Amino acid sequence: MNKYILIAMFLFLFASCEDVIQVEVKSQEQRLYSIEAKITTESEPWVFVTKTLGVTIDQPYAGISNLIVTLSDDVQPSNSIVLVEDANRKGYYTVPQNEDFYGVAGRTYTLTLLTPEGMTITSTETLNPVEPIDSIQIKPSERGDKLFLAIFTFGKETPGPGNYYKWDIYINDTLLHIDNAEYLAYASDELVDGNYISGLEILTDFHDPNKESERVLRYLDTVYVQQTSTSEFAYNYYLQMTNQASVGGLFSVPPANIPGNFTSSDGKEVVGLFTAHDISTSNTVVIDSTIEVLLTKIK
Amino acid sequence: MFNSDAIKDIQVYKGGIPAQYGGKASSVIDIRMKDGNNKDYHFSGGIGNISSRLTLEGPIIKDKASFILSGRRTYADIVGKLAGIKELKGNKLYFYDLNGKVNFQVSQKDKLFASVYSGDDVFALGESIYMRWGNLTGTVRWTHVFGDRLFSNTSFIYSKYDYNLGVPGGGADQFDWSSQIRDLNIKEDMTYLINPDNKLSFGLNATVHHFEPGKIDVSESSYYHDLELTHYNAMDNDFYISNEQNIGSALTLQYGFRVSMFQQIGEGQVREYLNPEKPVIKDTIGVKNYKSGQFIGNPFINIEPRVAIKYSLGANSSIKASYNRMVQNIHLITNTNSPTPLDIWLPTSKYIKPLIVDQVALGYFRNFMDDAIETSVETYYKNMNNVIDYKDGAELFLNESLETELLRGTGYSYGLEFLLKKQQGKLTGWASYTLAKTMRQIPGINNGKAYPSSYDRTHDFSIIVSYEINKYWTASANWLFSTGNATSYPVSKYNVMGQTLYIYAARNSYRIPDYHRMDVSVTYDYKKNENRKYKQSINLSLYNVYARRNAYSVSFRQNEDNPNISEAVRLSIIGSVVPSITYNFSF
Repeated sequence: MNKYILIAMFLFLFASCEDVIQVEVKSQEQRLYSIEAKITTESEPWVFVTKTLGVTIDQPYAGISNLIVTLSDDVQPSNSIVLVEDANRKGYYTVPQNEDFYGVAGRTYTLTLLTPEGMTITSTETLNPVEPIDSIQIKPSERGDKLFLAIFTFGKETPGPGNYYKWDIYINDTLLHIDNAEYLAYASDELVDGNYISGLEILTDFHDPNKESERVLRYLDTVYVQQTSTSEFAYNYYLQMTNQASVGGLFSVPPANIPGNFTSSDGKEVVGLFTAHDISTSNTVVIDSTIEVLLTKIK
Repeated sequence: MFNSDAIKDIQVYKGGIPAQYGGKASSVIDIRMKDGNNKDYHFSGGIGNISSRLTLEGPIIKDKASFILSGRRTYADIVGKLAGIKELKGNKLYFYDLNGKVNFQVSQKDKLFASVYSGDDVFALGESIYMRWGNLTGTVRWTHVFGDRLFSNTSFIYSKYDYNLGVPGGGADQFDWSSQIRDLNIKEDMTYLINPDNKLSFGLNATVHHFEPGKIDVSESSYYHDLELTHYNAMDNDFYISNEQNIGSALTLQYGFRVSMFQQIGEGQVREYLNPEKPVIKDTIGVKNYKSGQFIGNPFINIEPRVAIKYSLGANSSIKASYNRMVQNIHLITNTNSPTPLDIWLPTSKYIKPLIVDQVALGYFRNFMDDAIETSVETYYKNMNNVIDYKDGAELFLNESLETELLRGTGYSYGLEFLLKKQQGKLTGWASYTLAKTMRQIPGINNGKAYPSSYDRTHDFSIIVSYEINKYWTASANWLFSTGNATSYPVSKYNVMGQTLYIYAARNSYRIPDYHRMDVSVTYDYKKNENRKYKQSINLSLYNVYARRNAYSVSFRQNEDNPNISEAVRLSIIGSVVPSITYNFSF
């Protein structure tokens, strides 16, 4: 269900009723390990390790060095690789040069991190196969009276419930950085199982119609989409990310912490997410004048 | 939100709730509609920029039968535009309701009433989405007097609450989500005057509840499936008996009890879990189907004692004390605080136990200046059992195993209320202040520690005054203050996929800014036509005079320009002054 498009719509609608205020909070330096890790069928795995910061701290998250990071699959005998820290990016661990390691659909991956303090952190994810995407289209969204462009996906949904999707949107070959949950596009097949998906709106470019500069999808941009599979855990994690981002809004739920899929040997909480994705890449669409002309312009 | 033109009286029971009332855990508001004038026709109403209303009443058969018909419509879309929400242009946001009642004096001893209420809230954003929610109630009531001491009041009531939400049109993402609750209720209330000092009340109440928590309808071109969540049905049979007894001239006792029997019945499906006390999706054993009318589980039988004492201390003052047990079998399942129709109501059922509230209250009441001024001080304590709350991150939207998201615990609440009221003279009005605390304690939430309920208001103050300046002009003003809602603020943060995620402090351990607001109005009355049948007045009012941006919520978000900074964002729905003008008339 596209509850999340509705949330985006309301975030947009009530934007004019929002302002930033000062509140007193007791910021806490919990310094918990925070890990983001990803393996796909088309790109090499990476792991980024940082620690949580107090909420009032104005600093980037510093990477944590000197972890031993191992990734292995569940075939017999197991394929395994030790990821090494990137010389130019502290806390960022990737496949060493001269080696290859790609995800394979159907396999389960285990990530193990040994911290300098001697704590072992583990996480397991299954890389599910994804249904190929037929195509994407870019056209004005019905939401907001055709003032905004939207990306629509087309393709068959795999019969049988329990499929979860996430879409990565590339604009001019750059992944749309989802620092805002309204760009986080994911779905479960719960209400569409086995159907042909004829135009699922995965991104609506809501912006102030008087400010062209706020557009995400601009004239002459080239756009393609990677349709990826995710696990049920990751799907629920994305859902909770959306819920956190809509806290305070009209559809909001009480703020809640998001449990990650890492466990540690000493029982200390580790936050973050490890995901595994199969990928199907769409056609590329150029936002040319034939698309642009369909937009309603504010006079 | 009731149409004051059609209301005869409102009784609010906070403590000492008579046994006649049941089904609700908190205070009871009993609203009675006017009967309609049975001698002459009357027209009254008001036309304004925010809302308009119209009431017509008169005889059908002079002195025997009469009717009243009343309607209202608000134009919140206009309010929204005044509040600066320019996106509301071309969209719909309004409320309307209609009240109708006829009454018929059949004989000296028999009276028959029939009434209908219908109201609808509509919200639509062009072709994007729509929401509507509505209420419909129909009542037929017959009162009969047996002899001169036994009064009977028989009612048949049908009520329906429903809502729709969806994306219109014939597009691929079209859907319509609907939900409804229907109740059919037969009620018999009897009053027997045993002697001048004893008034016995007793009665029966039988209700059949029907719940349709969620249904999705789609057109052929939509990529969604149709879906329907299982229906819930329940029988709710109650009886009560209560006596009001005067002992001497100073003491009045009211004592009795109510028995409520609540039985979930088919048709419906019930999910079965390995441990029914702690249902978890993983432990689902299967789904059991029940036929129409078949009993599901055992009935929930509760006895609700009610006792109230009033002791007069002379002509001007009295003391009241009461104890009530109240049982609520209809539960609001929502984890949003928002006024959207996304609320889910469910009956007591296999996995949801009745909410049981025990309340004691003590009050001192005193009038001054020949009853021109009324004052009171009241204190109460409430203990609540089987309070429902939700697991962190619970997903309630179209969830077929909702019970797996619910947690059960206890709650308590206590408070002190002061009231000052002046109903006579040029200056009238009232002021009230409540100091209160409402807490919840639910295993599985907040590490099992007690936390403030979202309804907790430490301070709640309101003052309403009206002053008759002269024959023509009346000015009035009110000021409200209440402690900000309890909320959770984050203490630390981390990053996933570029989005800042938060770790929150203990649940509801912070407060959003306090709420306060002042409204003023003046009314000009055309008194020169005092003796004429046609009366008219003009009212000018300003809502939120000092344009306070009262927070609906405060949440944290990463700064758009500097993602390393998290800032607190206030959402305020109406943050400006809203002027309104209404022309009132009656003839």
